[in-house]
Amino acid sequence: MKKLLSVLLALAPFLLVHAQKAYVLPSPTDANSEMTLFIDMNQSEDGIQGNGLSGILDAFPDTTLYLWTWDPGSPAAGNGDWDNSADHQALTKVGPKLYSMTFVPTEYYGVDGPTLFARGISCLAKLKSGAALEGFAFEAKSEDMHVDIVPELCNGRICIFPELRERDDYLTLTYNNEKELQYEGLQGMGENECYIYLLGKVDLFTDYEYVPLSEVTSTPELKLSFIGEGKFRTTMIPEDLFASVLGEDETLSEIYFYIVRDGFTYPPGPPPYQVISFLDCE
Amino acid sequence: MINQSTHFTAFTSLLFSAILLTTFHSCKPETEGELGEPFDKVEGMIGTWELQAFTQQDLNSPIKETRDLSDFYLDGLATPLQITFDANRDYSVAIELGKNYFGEGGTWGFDDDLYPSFLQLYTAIDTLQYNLGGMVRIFDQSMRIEYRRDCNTAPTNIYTFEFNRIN
Repeated sequence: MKKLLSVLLALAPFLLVHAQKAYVLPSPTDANSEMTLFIDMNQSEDGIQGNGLSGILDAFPDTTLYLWTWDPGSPAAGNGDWDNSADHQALTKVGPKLYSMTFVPTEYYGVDGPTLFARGISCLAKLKSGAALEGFAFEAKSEDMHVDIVPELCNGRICIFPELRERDDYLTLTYNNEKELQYEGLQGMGENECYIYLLGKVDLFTDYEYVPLSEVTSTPELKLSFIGEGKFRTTMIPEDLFASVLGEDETLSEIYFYIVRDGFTYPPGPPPYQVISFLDCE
Repeated sequence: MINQSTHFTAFTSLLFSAILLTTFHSCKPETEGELGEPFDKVEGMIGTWELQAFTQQDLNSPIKETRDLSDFYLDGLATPLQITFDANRDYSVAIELGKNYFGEGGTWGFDDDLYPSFLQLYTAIDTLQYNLGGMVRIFDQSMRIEYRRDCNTAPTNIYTFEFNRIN
């Protein structure tokens, strides 16, 4: 009996997920990695919101469905029109009345992680035209569906804390060397080898290096501390750090940065900048 | 016959229990006295408080993640940040390490002495306002001050300073 209970408890999350009309995998979800949205039309009930798609699928099981979504925003490439969904919104049939679409949510919706997690995903499935099909009572769409997205803590190559910050906030940057795929010369970094190059942007035409690249590895405040598991971290107050570098009436608008390792040179071309932006508050 | 006897015994037991309960309840003394005066929140703050922890909470993180940034104030060598609130409503700050979020000193108060929501510090150039992590009574040995930041009314971070009373 105890064993049976344990098995049921272990399976509960999966059973719950799959009992929903819409769900995402993996969950918890990394906003910047691929996830798959599933729409289970077996769970759909016609007539709730003038929707009749389930009945249509019973009659025409191989018809193509399209995703129509509005939260956390409209897709960056658009939904198309209600009577003519965009082709890129076509769902893949993965089982009897079960459909999916795989995408990187921040790219697909053009929103940031906090917006995705705050709003979740609202969507429905429809035929290319959502209008009522001849011979069927309701519109060729499902009822509205909503999926709450459970966030995964930042697990990328670079993580910035906090998500939203002003230039006078404490800002923590974590670099995961184990996620360093692009530059072989940065892989397997030793505990005392990780530094950061910083370029403070004031406006489109004005920027200041914190120190020139040649001096980065001899500048202690630009060294990232090793915190284990291939990760390095530094915390700063950007405004204070750049105080000695900026002009009197100048304000930091963004920081451009890249990881530096003593003895490693990036391939020729534009520097591999990443950007830390700051809120503009009244 | 056996059944009748059982029913009779059960009924008697129930009746006896009910009488017993009523009797005891009648004997319960009436609650007398008053709740007393609420504690003095101003008096609770008076003293010198020394920083023992400093954290930053990201209010936009999906899990409201909190990071311990105590190292910016506590290195085991420098005297930790101290704030003294006195009975004349003056306050002073002693800081050797870390960013000073409390000004150079001045006067202090609550937005409402009886039911305070905010601690207010009036410096020569500014008025600073903080949330209290809880009301402090005269015998409490710890206090939390929260500096809640927002941007155009949208909350961003909470910096929490945890102090211990040192006198």
